[in-house]
Amino acid sequence: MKEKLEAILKNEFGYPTFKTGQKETIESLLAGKDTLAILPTGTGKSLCYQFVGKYLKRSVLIVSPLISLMQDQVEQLQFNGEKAVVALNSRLSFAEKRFVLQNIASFKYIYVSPEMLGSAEVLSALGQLELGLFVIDEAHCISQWGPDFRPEYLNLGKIRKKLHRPLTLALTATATSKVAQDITTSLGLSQTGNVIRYPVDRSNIYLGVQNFANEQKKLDYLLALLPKLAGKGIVYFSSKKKADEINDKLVTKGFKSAVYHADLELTERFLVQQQFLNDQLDVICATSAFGMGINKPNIRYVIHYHMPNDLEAYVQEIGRCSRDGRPGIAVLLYEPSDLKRQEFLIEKTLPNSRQIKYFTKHQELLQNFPSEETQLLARLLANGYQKDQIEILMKKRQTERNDALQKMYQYLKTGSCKRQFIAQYFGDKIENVHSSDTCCGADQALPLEKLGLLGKSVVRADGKKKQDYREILQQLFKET
Amino acid sequence: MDYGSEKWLLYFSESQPRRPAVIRQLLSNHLTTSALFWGRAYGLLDIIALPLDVNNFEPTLDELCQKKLLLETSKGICLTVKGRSRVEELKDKHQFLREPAFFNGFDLKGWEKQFYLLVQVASELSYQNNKYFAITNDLKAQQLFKNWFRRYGKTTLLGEITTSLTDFLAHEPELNAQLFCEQLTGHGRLGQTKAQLAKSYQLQIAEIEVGWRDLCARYAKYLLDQNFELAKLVMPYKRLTNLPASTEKTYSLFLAGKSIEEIAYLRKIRKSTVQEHLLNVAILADDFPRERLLSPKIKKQIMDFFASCPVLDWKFQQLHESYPEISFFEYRLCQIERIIVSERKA
Repeated sequence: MKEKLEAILKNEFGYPTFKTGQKETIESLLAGKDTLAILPTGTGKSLCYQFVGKYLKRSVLIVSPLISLMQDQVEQLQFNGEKAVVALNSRLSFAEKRFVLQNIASFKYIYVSPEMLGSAEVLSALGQLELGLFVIDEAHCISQWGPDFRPEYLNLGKIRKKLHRPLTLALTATATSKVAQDITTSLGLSQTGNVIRYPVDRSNIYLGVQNFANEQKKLDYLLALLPKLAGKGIVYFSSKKKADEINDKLVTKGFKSAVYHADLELTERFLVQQQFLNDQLDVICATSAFGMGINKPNIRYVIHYHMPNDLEAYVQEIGRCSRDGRPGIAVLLYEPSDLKRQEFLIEKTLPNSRQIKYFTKHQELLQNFPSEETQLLARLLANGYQKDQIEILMKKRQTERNDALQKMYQYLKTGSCKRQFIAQYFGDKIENVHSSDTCCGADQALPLEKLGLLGKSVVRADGKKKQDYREILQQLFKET
Repeated sequence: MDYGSEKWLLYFSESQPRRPAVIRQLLSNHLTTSALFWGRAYGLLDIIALPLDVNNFEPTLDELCQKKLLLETSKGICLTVKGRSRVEELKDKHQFLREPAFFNGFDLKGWEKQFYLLVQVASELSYQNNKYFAITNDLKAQQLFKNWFRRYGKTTLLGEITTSLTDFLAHEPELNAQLFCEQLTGHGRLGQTKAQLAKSYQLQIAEIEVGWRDLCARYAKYLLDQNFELAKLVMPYKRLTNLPASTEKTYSLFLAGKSIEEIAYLRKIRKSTVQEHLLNVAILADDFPRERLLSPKIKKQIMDFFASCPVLDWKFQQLHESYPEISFFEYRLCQIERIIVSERKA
């Protein structure tokens, strides 16, 4: 069996060996067990279901919370030559959706947004399929205890029943034990299911925190640090405006930098992402919109200019660093007004009691308000929640999210080992904590040299000669 | 020069203060009879649904008034002398849309995706590579291309795309062609983003955007005009008609010989609605059979009455006092006809 699996891995996917947890997850599924796999970032979770789909030669249905993530996965599969793949989400026009549903059996990998699964038409088309595997990606969104809770995810248990309880795989990189329990219960996996858990720790990533008295000092530090860093990296921001502003500064200083956030048109997002993957850019100034599904093994640093709202997001985002196993560095930059900003953002993204009262009476108006909090309200109402229930739920969410933010704050303020702090939060046991000065640190010089991450502190001027447009056309279309 | 906001100056005049509301309605594709009429009268119909962002329109006009490029009066907003000379500078130095009529009636955003994909697939095919990330996941674009490719094949694709792009760009200013090509993605070559080009050519992002749309649209038109097989990829992005569905129905019945009253009865709509639909068609289509609705006698009465008055200064109220039997509908039809005649003379 072992040889057979490895032969398929090599022939179909081109990898010589499995990464952490992949084989265990695949074997569990092939033994017919529903599985919750909690695997660290960068371990190639999607390979698990792609492999099982190929092995069983049956369709795989993947529920995915983010359109951009879905698109990335679809692109990745298409790139690898798998054309029978589709994303069923709100980006499809009416005619496209009809086309996909009429031809649903011709697709091997069907990505679907949880909202789409609420449609009777979609569910009925999917019900006709003999599914090989039902996958819930980013399964931590199921849990009301998790920071990324999505109300539609709560219906997945019922939907699974309607789809005749297919073999199920729930995937996540970050789940505390409470969240893990919630996932198995909600999906009805608790009796027969198998939980595979690996620690979230990525021992090759140095965890650094730098505190500053004000934003100017933080900015000065960033601008001084970037030229010293070898390799490519990502700087994360909570605000699109700030990402634009700092990207402009970097470009002016001669960095090969680009910005990536939700305001960019899709083609521009494609170009920036591809330029980065092809090493044409040194740094990306991004919001959290960037990175899901990005599989670039040699990202050497992930810097957070603004703190994320919770450790789950932080671990996900820094997990994009050094997936090839070589040393990488994650640095969180903090100045006192950052905490206030995140508190404000949390408050802003949840509907307040005035909005709840007004919109439960005037639900028809919700479609005119595309902001995050009104859209959350719209989804809750569409899922049958009543005004009082929503008020209670939102108060609870506010408290939970503030608690999660406080945990994040404690992480950056802790004087003990940061790696240990994360492990404790996720209930992991890790060995060799704080084994060396390349483990973690706060407000101290980053061990760039020891990590082999010290670059030449010179910004390279792009000496490439501009091509004439006729040469570009010649390059594009090779004469035969 | 801030091209981003100053581009609006291109649509203003020194003597027609009521343009702002018309511009806003036409750009927003909010095509009331009045917006269409004044759009035609001001020569602005080409901007219908032009992909320009109207969200900050009013604050931008305030800003342009503060710069004394526009002047606001109780009647509306006009170009100042300073504004007029800025328009000349803009036309001289900056990209602007030279084929805006092409937008009207075409789904430019859809065609853009199709075009990006077309270039990428052709490029990769020319290197015999089929392992690449598709630049767009747009199902319509992918499906249309697949069907086209099955029918016409690789030789036609590569032959036509190289010939058409080379010939089309040869007639463009060097810089425009350069900026256009730098945005294309294909084998071993990723396009530059608009922000990257703006930085490297020291232009504004808005200029790059407008230039790209302009060339993208005119390349589509070039494919159509020159009868390339690739034009079959442009056609699916043409909207079937510029007329809203309800207007189209009314007009079909009218062409089938039905009277206004009969159309109102058959369609269960008001007579005034039928008249509005017909006026809209009369504004948009020069070959509208006006004579069926406007008798020579009434037409002569109106024209004699306004003999010495410029057509845009006509007032229905004045006519009504002398000829109460002439309806607003007839008056407007006659006015539209005069506008079209004077356009032709010009």
